[in-house]
Amino acid sequence: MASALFNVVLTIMFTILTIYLAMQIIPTFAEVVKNAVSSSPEVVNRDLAGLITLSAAAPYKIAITYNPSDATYNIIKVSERFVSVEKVENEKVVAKATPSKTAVDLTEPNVVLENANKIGVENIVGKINIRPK
Amino acid sequence: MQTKLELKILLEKLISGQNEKTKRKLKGAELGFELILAGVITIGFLVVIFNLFIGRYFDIKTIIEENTIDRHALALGNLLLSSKRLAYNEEASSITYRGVFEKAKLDTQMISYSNFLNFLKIFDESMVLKEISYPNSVVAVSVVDKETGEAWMIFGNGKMTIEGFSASKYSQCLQSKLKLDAQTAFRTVVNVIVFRVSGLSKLWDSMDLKACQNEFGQSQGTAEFAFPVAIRVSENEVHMGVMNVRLTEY
Repeated sequence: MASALFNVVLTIMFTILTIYLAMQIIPTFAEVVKNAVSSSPEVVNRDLAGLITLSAAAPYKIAITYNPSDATYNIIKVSERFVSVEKVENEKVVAKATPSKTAVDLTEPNVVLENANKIGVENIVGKINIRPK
Repeated sequence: MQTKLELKILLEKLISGQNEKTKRKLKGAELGFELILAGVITIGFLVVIFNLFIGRYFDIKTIIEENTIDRHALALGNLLLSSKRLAYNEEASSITYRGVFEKAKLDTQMISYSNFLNFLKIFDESMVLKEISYPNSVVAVSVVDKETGEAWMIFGNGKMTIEGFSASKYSQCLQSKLKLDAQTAFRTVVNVIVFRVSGLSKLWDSMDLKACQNEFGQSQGTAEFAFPVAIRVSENEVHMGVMNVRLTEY
């Protein structure tokens, strides 16, 4: 009888412990996934190419600030209407993405942004530029 | 009496045997539950260990499922709506009216369906598409004045970086398959002047057009979207119209 009771108490304790651990892990894991998605080079690449293209649709002026993640830094290259993004961690390139297309040229023909975290996309009366913010 | 006793013993044995079986069953169930619990806890600990120590060395690969060509065609249409080469631009304030095309600009920048000889511009490089086009793509844009039936079109390609592509190949292919016999020319002119409908497409067979498109190789896909536009004919006259954008990416 005593051993049965002990088993029940032990089971309840283990269950509570497992649920507690799961509750601790799931939000952390979700946050990790969220950050990984928003700062992924593929996502940054497509977002940036889309923002450059659509900034040209503004008939007068537009300034967009794009900050995919506070903790992630990228090398961004824009050349010949192709945007390529490389994710940098501890001064090393850890991930690359297939270049994305833009439909318009930047005012400067070849743009390279090193260690960019927050990026500004501007179109001022037809002059389109990107710069670190 | 003996038989009664034997029967009693037999019954007791049976009951005790059943009890043992039940006990065995319960014992099995207890073992199974403990195993499941142990498994769940082990998995939990493994997740913690992976997350704390190993997880940081892995980069999570994200794949976004979306139709890139549709997105590009929509963006291209939006860019054309605000293009200074097509949209009405007020000189005094230098304001560009997005979505309001100027007829005079359409006549100069695009090929007018109502002018039969205008179609020769089809082989010239379009300045509009030179400024606004995606690399490795072929674009066809048409604007139709819904009130008069008048129509304009341009087509061309963005900068091609794909191997083996020749920018002039498509144009040469179209030129070689152009039907310039007297009958076709007459029908086209009559269609345009009398019936106010486009006869331009009749200058090529649809099979020939497809054959020329195949000169580029296998496309990734095609997207087509229509955008409502206004066409400013004069200072006091604005017509309703529609712009169709067809984008094929390679």
